[in-house]
Amino acid sequence: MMILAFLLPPLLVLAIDMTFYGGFKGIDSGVSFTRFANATLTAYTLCSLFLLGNLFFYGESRNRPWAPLVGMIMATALGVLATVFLIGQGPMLLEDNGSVRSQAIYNIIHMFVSSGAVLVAVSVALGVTFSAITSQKPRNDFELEEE
Amino acid sequence: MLIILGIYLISFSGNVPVGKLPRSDRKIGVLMAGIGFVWLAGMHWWVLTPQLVPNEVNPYWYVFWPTFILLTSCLASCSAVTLLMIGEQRKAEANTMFIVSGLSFTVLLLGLNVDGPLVTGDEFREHLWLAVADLAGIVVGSVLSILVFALVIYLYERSLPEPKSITPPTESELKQVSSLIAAHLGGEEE
Repeated sequence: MMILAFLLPPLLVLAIDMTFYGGFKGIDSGVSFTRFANATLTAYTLCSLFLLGNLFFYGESRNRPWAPLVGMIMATALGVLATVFLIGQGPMLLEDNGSVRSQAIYNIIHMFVSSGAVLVAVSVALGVTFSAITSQKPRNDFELEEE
Repeated sequence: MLIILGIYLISFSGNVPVGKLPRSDRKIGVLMAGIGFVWLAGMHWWVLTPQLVPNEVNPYWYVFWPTFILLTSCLASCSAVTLLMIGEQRKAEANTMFIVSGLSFTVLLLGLNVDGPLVTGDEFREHLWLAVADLAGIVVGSVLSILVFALVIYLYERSLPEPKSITPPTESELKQVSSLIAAHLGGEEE
């Protein structure tokens, strides 16, 4: 139910588009797939890097083992290599950029901007929920038993 | 920043047990959040659109604005249903969240149908679906990396030898422990 509520706005836009325009107006599946793939690869690589940093804290309680660190470095390197390889394959993942390096930098900046938008949206939604709760009259949730 | 600061002022000028702000801050908060949203709307439909060179919209504005407005609508809708399902007597708060979701969705529909001076409805529509693809990609990529992280930890922990078992306590050790426990049990009568 909650997932459905989350997905309701884009589904409504889709329904309105299909009703009034008789199809998926403005959706270019090729461009959308390119964006999806780039976002997936960038999110995987950046998130792996972040988690790699977390392994240092994990290692503190385990006498700093090398095995998980090497495993995570390899997983991160796999993400970087897959990104470079797939972008280098040609127009499949190359958006309006001329080279692998410019596309990779564009992906990273794009990810930061998207993450910023996500962060602001989450702050607004949580903040408004919190302010809606605190703006109500205080409630007595516990009834005191009187002898 | 104005919006978040405004929401902070609105939240903490309400009924909070600690860190309560004066009631007058509520009006300032509403004003700040309102100005923030109007400013964002002005960046789409007025002359405030961020530009790299005259008449060329900053491409990252096309990334930020649809993602923000779509996700706000989705999260507010989800929050409203969550309040109804999990919270008790939270109908008023859920209605507020439905209104926020509805307002964001209205802005979204306006963006799709009303052209701004530099951003047309069709451009906004195209970038809206790219934002959906972007959000889906971020979720899939993040989940994948978390799964890999969990797998690495799991494989390492599984490869560790089992800890050595120690011999059970002797009779004298058990006696010493029970005497220590007995010495620390009980207390003064109230």
